[in-house]
Amino acid sequence: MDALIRYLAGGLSAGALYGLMALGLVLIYRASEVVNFGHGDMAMISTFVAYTLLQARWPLPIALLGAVLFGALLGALVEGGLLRPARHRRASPLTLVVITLGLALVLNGLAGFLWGHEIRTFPTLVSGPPLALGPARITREQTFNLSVGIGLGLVLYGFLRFTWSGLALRAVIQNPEAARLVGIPMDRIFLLAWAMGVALGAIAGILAAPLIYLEPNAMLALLIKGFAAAVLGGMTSLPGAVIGGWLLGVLENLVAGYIATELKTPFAFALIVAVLAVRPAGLLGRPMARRV
Amino acid sequence: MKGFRLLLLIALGLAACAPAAPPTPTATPVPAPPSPTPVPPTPAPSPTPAPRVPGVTADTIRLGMICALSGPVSTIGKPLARGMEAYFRWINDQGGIHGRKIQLIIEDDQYNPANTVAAAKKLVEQDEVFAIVRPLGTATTAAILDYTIEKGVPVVGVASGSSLWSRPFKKTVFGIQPTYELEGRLMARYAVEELKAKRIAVFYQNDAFGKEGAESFVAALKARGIEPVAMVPYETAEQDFSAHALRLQQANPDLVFVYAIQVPAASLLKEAQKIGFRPKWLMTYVLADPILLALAGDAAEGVYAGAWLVDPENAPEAAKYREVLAKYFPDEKPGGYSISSYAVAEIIAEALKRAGPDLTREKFIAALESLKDFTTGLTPSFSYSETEHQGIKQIAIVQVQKGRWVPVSGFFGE
Repeated sequence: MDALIRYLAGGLSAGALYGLMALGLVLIYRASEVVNFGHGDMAMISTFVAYTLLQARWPLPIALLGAVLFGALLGALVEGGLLRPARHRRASPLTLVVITLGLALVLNGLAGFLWGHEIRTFPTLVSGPPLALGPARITREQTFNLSVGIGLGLVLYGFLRFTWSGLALRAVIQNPEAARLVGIPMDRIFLLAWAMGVALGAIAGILAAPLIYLEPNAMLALLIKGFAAAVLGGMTSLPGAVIGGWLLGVLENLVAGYIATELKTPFAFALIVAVLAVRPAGLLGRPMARRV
Repeated sequence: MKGFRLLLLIALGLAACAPAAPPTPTATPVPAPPSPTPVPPTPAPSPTPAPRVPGVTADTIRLGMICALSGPVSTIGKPLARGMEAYFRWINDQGGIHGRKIQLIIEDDQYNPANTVAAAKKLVEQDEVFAIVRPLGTATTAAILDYTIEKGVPVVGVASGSSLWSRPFKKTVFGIQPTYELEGRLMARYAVEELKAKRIAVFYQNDAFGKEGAESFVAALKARGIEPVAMVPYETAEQDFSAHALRLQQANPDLVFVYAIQVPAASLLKEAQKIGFRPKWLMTYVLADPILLALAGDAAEGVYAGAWLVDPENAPEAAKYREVLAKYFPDEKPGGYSISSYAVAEIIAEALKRAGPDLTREKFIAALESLKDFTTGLTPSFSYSETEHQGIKQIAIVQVQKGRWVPVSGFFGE
C-alpha cells in the first residue's frame, strides 16, 4: 500500500510536467493550428535563461519569473516575427510546422554555442524531509510539482472562463471562421496563445531541470512525453492534456514499479498506441472533421 | 556518397565549434603531410629505399583520436582528449620521440557510432594516421573495429572496458582498462568479503556495457551462494529515476551495485537521498571522477567505486601529470578521465620509443607486446603479449569522503 501510494505520487508529479508541456502544445495547436516542434527547445532555452540569471545571483523567484517571461516573449516573437508573415503569404500549415522544426534545431545549436554541452546542475526549488501521507512518504519536490501543475491548470481555466482575452481565445479555438467574422483580432489572439503556450513549456522545463540536469538536449524526452500526453488526451482538449500527462506518468511508474523498470517507457507508449487505435481522437478529444 | 560527405562536413563543423578542443591540436606547428595530392595507398616501386609508413614522416608521427567533444558524453570526452593532448604536447616540448613530434588529430563523434565510422574513415584515408588512440565508447569503437583491422590501423587503449577488444584476440587492437567482466567479479568479492554485504541489489544500464558488468557481478555472487535481492535495469534514454530508487528501496538491500553512467547514477543517488534510502553504494570505475560529485552533490557522500589508476588529485605518483595538465590546460582540474588518457599516452610513447627510429606499424605492435609488468606509475603494472592484448587486470577501491574521492584499498586482482 505504502509503495503503491509512492509510485502513484511519483507518477502524478512527473505527469504534471508532461501535462504542462502538453497544455502549451495544445493551446498553440488549437489556436494557430501549428504543432510546435520547437516546444522542447524553447523550454530548454528558457531554462538556460533561468540558469544564467541564477548564476548572476538574481534571487530565485525573480530569476524564475524572468525566465518564464522570456519564454512568453520568445513564443510571441516566433508567432509575430516568423509564423505570421509566413501565414500572411499563404504558407500551408505544413510549412509552418517545418518552420518550428527548423527553429528547434537552430535553438538547440545556439544553446550549445552559448552555454556549451557540459551537463549542469540546476538548483532544487524545494527541499526538506518528505511529507507523510497516510503510511507513505512523499518527497516535497513531488508535492510541489503536482501543486504547480494543478495550480496552473486552474489559472488557465479561470483565464479562459472569466477574462475577455480568454473568451476570445476560446472563440478562436472553437470556431475560427465565426470568431473572425465577429471581429476578434486573430493575430493578437495567436500571439497570446503562443506566449502562454511557450511560457507553460518554460515552467515545465524549470521544474524538470533539477531532476534531469541541464544541457541542450535535456528536454527531448520531456517534449516527446508532452506530445504523447497531448495526443492521449486528445490533441484538441486542454483538460485532456493535463489528464493525459497524469495518466502517462502514473502508467510509467506502475509499469516500472510492478512489471519491469526497463519497460517503463516502451510499455506506457504501447498502451497509448492501443488507446488511440480504439479512440483515435484521444480520451477527451473530439473528431477533427470540421476543421479542414 | 553525398550523404556521407555531408555527414563528414557536419562532423567537422561540430568539431570546429567545440570551443575547448580544436580539431588538430599540436603544440608546435608541424609542416603539412608530404602529399599535396592524394597518394595511392600502395607505394609504387621506386628507387627510394623503405616503403612509406602512413602517418610517419621524418619529423612527425600522426595519431588520431575519436571521442565525444559535444553532446551529453562530452563530459567524458573533453577531459579524455585533454589528458592525451597534454602529455603529447609535453613530450613534443621535450623534443619528441626519436626526433619526431606527435601530431594528435582529434575528431568529435558525439558518441554516435555513425559519426565514429565517418571520423575513422577521415582519419585513415584523408589524414593517414599511424594509429587510432583511445577511442571513447563501446558501441562507437565496435563500429570501427572491422574497418581498422582491415586497413591494418592499430587501435590502442580503447576507452571502454568491453571484452570485445581482447576477445577474440585481434592483432591490431589493444585494450587497456580492466574489462567490465573482470571488474564485476572483483567488485563481487569486495562487496561480500570487505563490505560484508548480505542483501545485494543491482542497478545497471540495459545495454552491452551495463549488462557485461552486472552479469559478471551476479555470476560471481552466485558462486558465493548469494542471490541478488533486486535487479533494476534502466533504459539509456530514461530521465526520471524516482521509480528505480523506490524499487531498490522496496527490496531492502544493504548494498547496491551500480553499473551506469554519470547522469543516471547521480539522479539515482539524489532520488535515494530524497526518500531516505541509505544503502552502501558500490559503483563501476567508469563513475570514479569528480564529475559524479558535481552532479550528485552531498548525495554521493560515502559512495564506493572502482579505480584502475592512482588518485589523480593527491597521489605522489601523479605529481607530474598534475603539473603537465596544469601547464597546457590550466582550467582542467585533475580527474579520472584525463589521467586515464594521460597514462595511455605515456604507454604509447614508451612503445614508440621501443619501436626505434625506423618506425613501422609492425614494430609498434611488437613494442607494445614487449611491455611486461610495465607501469609508468599511474596504473598497476600490466603486460601485453603476442597472444593477449587485454591490459590492466587490477582495480583499487576509492570512496567519497567529505566530497572527495579517497583511496580505501590498494590495487588487487584475481
